[in-house]
Amino acid sequence: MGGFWTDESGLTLLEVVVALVLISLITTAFVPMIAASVKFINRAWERYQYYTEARSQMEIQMAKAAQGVAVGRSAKFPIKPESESGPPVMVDGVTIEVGEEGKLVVFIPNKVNK
Amino acid sequence: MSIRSEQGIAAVGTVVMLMVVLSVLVTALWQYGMFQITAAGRNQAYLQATYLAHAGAEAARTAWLDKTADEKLEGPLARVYYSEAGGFQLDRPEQFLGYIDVMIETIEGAQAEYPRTRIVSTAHVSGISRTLSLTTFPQVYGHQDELNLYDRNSGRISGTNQYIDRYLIIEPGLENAELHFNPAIRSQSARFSARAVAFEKSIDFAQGGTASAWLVISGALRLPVAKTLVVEAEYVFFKDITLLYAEPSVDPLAPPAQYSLVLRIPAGRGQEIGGQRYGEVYFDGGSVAKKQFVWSRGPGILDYMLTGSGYEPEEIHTYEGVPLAGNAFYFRDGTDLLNPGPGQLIPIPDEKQKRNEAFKDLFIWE
Repeated sequence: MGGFWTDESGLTLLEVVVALVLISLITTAFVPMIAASVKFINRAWERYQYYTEARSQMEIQMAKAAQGVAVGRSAKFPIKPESESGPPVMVDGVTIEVGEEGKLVVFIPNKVNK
Repeated sequence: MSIRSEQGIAAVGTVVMLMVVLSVLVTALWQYGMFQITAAGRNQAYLQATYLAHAGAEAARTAWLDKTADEKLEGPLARVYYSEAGGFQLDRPEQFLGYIDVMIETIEGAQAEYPRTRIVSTAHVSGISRTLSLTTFPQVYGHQDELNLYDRNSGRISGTNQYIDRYLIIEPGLENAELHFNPAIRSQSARFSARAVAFEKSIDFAQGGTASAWLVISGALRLPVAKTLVVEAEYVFFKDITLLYAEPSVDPLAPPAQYSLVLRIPAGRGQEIGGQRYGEVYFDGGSVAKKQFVWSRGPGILDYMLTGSGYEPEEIHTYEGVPLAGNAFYFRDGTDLLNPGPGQLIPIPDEKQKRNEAFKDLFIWE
């Protein structure tokens, strides 16, 4: 048996064909997984970007609300001690929603309250 | 075994090795992708929970601030759900984004006199929880040693303070210890000065009709008996108030007497209305009244005693005729509640009352 680089004997056609078939099968089997993995990574990255943007939008909206600028839509937030059975106190304010899918939602009480 | 071996299994073996290596790499890539997508989902739920927790804390803070001292919320609040269709609600909807649990608790500090209030809001979204807390600064009470504005046990007014840019609470400790002046002093003036002053107990300068003053000889000099509590603040919150006055008419030698409250605005504070500076005063009790006392002869020939007349307290109105009790007013610097002058007290419409402004720095996020 000669060395790896000095052995002049080749591969038979059959061996080459079998090897190529195996490589093709393996590659074919892995391609969808690789594609899906790349898709997941891309989607995750897009979601990170989306929520980074949504978060900054939310902070801007909240800062505006703190300055008395009209943002969001009118809403009420019920507050009731767990031990009480009467109707809740309804806190007036606005609900700010940011984003389309998987919205970020916050409630800002009205600045002017009796 | 060489790659050029005529034994074909060598090529197959190499392919198998490639397959193993490729499998490991692809599996790693797959795992990484799954991890990233899961992390992004958790990040989404975390952010959603953060803002819901913020909503719960803000709403609870507003409700807490809007209550008077006796009605302050404490303990766990009922769970609130958020759904896109129904907004924030107590009833559990079929589909909802998440829910919020809020707890309001009092934290006793190292010294029992310095309690804080903490609002803990926890939101849950898709199995992810996020908790935010709002905590008050240690509350400043007028009876604390550094201020010593009144005696906590007796309620007797004892001092004056320099302006503090804080929310000052006036709360005599005992059940019947309303704030009152020292009867042994003929004339007394004290000033409580802060950004906002809240009287969490009633003020009764007539002490239920038992207030008294005893003038010996000096009564003949007709020097008025004047006791004045000056409240210097942008925002003032009162409960019941009873002031005292006495006319000299019953005896030509008896002096006039006034136990009054005067509202002042700290320098550079307040808001301008018609070129004058105004603060805000909220009369949250059921009565703002003055009670007439009378002078009577004491045991000595020139002794006079100031005693309860038995007259019913008279409700105080603005100069323009609006009752003070239960209402809120812009007050002009120097307003004397015993005798409000024209334009000194201007009713504040409900929609413009800004109680929360007085407390805007009371809570800090943790």
